[in-house]
Amino acid sequence: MSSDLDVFVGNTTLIDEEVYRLWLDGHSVAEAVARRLRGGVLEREGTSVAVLQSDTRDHYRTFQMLERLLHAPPRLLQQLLFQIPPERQALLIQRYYAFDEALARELLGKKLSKGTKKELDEVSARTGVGIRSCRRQFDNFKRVFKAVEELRGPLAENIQQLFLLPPALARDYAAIVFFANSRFETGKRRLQFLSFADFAACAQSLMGHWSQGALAPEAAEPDGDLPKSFLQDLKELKVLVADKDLLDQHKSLVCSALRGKISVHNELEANFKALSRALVNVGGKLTHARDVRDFFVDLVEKVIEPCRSDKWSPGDLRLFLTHYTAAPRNLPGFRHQALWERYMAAISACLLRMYHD
Amino acid sequence: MGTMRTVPDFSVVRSGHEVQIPEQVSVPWQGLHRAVSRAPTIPGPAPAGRGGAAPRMRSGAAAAPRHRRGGAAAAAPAGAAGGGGGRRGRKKMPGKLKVKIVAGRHLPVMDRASDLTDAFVEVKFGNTTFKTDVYPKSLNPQWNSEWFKFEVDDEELQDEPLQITVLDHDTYSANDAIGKVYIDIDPLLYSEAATVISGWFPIYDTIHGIRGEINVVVKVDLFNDLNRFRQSSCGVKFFCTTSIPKCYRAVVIHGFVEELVVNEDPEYQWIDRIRTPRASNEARQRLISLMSGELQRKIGLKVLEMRGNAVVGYLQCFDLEGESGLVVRAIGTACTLDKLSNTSAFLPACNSPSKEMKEIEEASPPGCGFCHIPYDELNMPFPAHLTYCYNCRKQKVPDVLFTTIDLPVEAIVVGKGCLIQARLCRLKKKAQAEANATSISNLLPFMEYEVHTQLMNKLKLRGMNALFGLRIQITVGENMLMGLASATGVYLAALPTPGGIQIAGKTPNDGTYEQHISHMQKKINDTIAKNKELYEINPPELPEEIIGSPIPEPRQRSRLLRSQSESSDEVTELDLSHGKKDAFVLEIDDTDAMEDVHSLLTDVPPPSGFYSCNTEIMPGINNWTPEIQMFTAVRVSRLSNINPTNQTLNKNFNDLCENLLKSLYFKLRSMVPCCLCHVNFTVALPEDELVQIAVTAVAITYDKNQALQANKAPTEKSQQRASTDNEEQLQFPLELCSDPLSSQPFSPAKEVLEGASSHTGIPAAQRATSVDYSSFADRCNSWIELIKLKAQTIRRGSIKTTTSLEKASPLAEGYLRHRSVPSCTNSTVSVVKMTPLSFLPGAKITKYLGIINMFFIRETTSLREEGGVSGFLHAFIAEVFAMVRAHVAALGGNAVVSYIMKQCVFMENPNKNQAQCLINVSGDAVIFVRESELEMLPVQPSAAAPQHTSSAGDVTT
Repeated sequence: MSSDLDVFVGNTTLIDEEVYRLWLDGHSVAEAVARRLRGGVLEREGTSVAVLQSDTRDHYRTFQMLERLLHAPPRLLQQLLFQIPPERQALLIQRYYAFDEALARELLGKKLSKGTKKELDEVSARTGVGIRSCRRQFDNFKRVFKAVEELRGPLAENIQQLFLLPPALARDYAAIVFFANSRFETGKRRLQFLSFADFAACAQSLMGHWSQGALAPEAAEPDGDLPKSFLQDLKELKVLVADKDLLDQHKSLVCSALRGKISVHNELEANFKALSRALVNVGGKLTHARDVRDFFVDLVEKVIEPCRSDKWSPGDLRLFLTHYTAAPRNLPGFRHQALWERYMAAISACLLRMYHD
Repeated sequence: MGTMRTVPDFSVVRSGHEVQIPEQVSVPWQGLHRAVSRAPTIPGPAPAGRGGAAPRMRSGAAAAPRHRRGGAAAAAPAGAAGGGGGRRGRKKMPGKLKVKIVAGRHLPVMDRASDLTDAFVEVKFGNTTFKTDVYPKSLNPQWNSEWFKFEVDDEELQDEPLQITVLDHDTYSANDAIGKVYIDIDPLLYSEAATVISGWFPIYDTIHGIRGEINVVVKVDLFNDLNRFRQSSCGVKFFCTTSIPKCYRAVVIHGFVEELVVNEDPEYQWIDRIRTPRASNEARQRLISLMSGELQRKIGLKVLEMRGNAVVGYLQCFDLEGESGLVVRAIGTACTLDKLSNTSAFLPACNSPSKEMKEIEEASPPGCGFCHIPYDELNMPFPAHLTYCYNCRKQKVPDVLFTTIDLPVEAIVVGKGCLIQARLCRLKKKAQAEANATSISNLLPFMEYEVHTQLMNKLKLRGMNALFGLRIQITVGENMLMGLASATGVYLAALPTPGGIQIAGKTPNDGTYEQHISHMQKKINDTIAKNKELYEINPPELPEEIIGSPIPEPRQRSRLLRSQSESSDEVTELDLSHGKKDAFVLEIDDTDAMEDVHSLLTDVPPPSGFYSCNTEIMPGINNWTPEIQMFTAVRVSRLSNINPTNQTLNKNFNDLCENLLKSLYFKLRSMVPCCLCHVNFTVALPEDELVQIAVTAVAITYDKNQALQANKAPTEKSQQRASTDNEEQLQFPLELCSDPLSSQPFSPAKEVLEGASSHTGIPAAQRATSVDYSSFADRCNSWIELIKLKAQTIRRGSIKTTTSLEKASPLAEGYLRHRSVPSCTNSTVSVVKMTPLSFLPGAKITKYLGIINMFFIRETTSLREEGGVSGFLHAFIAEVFAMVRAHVAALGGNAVVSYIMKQCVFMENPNKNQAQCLINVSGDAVIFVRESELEMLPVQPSAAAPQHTSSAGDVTT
């Protein structure tokens, strides 16, 4: 006797967390049932496979109906079709928008386009995330990106408001949007040691220090774009390396301040000029979109790798950056102190975050 | 479309023969309606004696054209309630309906090019339509319209639904409909119910389902002074709840009211060939809405005629009779209710039956009175084994009790109860007309007998001795009959301990056979022992000599009976009693019987932490926590056997029900410990080989740890005396009564019984005494139950009236000091609870806002795309729930009680990728307050509590 039709509808919508996870992971009903069986639910509840199948199908149907609403979380809160307690709604949203960091790392800086979506098969194979789950996560990224692309104000807050995500998750999405917008290169071999969390932290520092919103809350430009005028101004900082006197004075100020405080003082003295040039030039190049892409590559290649080969400890780097940033205050004739500190705050934060094996 | 239209035909067969609560009632009425529809000119009953003094009627002529839809022969019998011809020309204008369209949200994209919608709204009431401006290019339009005002008479107010249509404006082509909202404004017409309807309603389309929401405000200004208004049926309150609603007391119970209206089904009109399915569905929805309004108004008029002000237990049903039309009918009990806050009785309790019943109440001892046989012992209508009541020891009780009522609060129960179901299939030859009727009639007695036997066996298997809430449904299909009986088994302390089940073989000389028999016997005995443990049935041991009583032997009695009622046919020959008390013998004479015994043992008890019952409350559990989950589950299964036999069908059906229950337990496992209450199965046979089972129930959690404590301390004041007495009696049950029959215990009951001479059930006077059971007679579809229950329930009714006030919610009242559910105020949508019960655990119903009675049609021509039949129905049921909740919330309510899905007619045509479903639901919209919150507001309870007790006292003492 086969059941053609089999539905269960509660006045309060039942959400089974385990089945939700299986659904999010992109398993088919049959796979989900198999996994639930392996989880030993049969023994615990003393039920039958048929019951489990029927239950799983019910939940899958519910999730499919909910998915449309999950695409715009505020609708989930306002809709009348499913009566779901608020804490359950929050859980649904949070789980739906949670992502695999490995996948997000792969997609960082890529254009969220159809082309990228087609490559998800490979990404799925590399990361071990199911292809259906990959597509869902990709669509989430794209949806969030599209929604906040044109909005003003702080990115993370906008995302939090539009998608009702927990703050940490909203910040991660802000990072993804920021990377997708600026198209930073993250896939190079020498950047492979950096995790999603590293990049997300960098994105937050960059947005936090450089974006318009960081200065004026009612900024005219979206947070995801770095303000053009600021990037233009960064060219002014080149004086620090172009002017030989300034460069020498800068070096002596930093070196004398750090004498005896860091273990790599000799290496610092030898490399200061190269380091300083690298640090200043990274900013100077940001007006050109193509150079923006290489931002992280440059930092790694020209700062992190030399330091690492000289065996700087993270503490050494921290001290160096602190003094390197502070020193120009005492440089005669340097008039861009505020700009310099705003610039270096983000760069320092990024470097410190990225400086690991 | 063509095939879809023909499918509803099967319901003709169904409603004609299905022996089901409402259907059965309908049989005589349908005859009536046919007579009426053939002669539409028959005027309504003359309004004798109420014309001049009480000019409450609208003119019949004014009503007629509205109902003579489609112009065809079968016009509604309009004016049946009215007919005050002299008022014809007078235009009455007792009210002004005001509607404001505020905003919409989440509208569907109607213009693919812009991905937006240019929405506007049409507001229609009667023949008047208003329109809002077009709000261009938005999915969240803010119309903020002016107040649209409809000047209407009260008949229109009662009959017509407010119809709100959301459309997409299109400059070049016809405007596209997005969807509709029908709002029943009836709740605004009672003086005590809602004053405004305001909120977000789902915009519903019969093809696409819910498409966004619309915010509407509706008000009614009544011009008349209250007095005159009272003369129309507008003021009559309707309740689906079958007991006296919590915040009222019954001053007078007037009796049974019923009414029926007929119309042509729009689905079968010629125009249906050319209009779209949407238009056809909408015409049908609107018509049914109109017809229910009309029906309610007519019932209201009957109530006013009886000088009542309310209808309790209002139950409305539809019959889709295909070509011959659409029938809407309803029953209820007319009462005069008094709100508990104004205790001054405005009516003398002239006809109140409660007065006489008080004497009975005093005569019968508490806790067991309802168990005592109401007959003269020597003149029993059927044989039964009698003993002295194990509780009071004064009067006789049968050894088993089958009742359709809920367990009376004062009943003394040992252990817990459980859901017991008898399931049965019988093959039937396909036949037409008379031949069909004959073959059905031939099968029915056997089915009823077998259902009865199964119930008895299963009851004994659980070591219990009484059934409550018995509901038997026999469904007639093309080639088979299905019987499903559900009841809640309990162990009543007043009745004797049931004996075991003894099986006996026919061929005792066969060794292996005997071994098999003894093996079965052992299994049965084990099951009984296990069940006793499971349901905590350990009645106090009684010395044997107490039981010995001068009761004549069963044989003797039955002989006596036969001699006195020779006229009764062969049915009396059936031995309905257990025979000897201690051994219930099942004879295994063929393989069928063997199968039967096997099937007895297949019922799996619910997993630990679960209990289930089909009554309102679970006997033996009274420490509910406030968490509830109402649900509907529907299954359609194909009986795949090519050559089905009765046995395989039985097994299939049994498995289907068992699996469904199992599935429910699994789904609700997170609520453990909990109880499934009011488990209501409905069986339909939509096609050959297809069985549809729909279950609606509510899962209620309870506190395991407080079980004992709560048992010891019954919290209800009025119940306390009885309960403590009972407990004493439970603990010291050995007081022997030496003179059991001297006190003439049966005399009052006998009078009642003699009154119940009518064949159709209980006459109004008696019926009036049993508010709760206005429909109980309808429920017992077998003569066996009818006879038994007539007697039992009439008697019980006497108790009923006096206790209905407290009885209604022992849990709600009794529940105190529990943790409250964290409030969900941060949610934008207010939570609306739904329950088939008449109460909410741990809460007090403070206001009844009006009846919810909704009818929806959903159709699809893209069944596969919507997830197949399951996806389609799942979405539809969810939509129905959503629309019910939205209406309740808009009335200012936070719950629906006495919720019932009365109809769920599902038809599919997978080859054409089509499906259609009709759902009818109803219930009472209420406002409830958590008792924990009541405690925090000391003013309210102190004001309410004494009134409650005083009024309860009025009735009970």
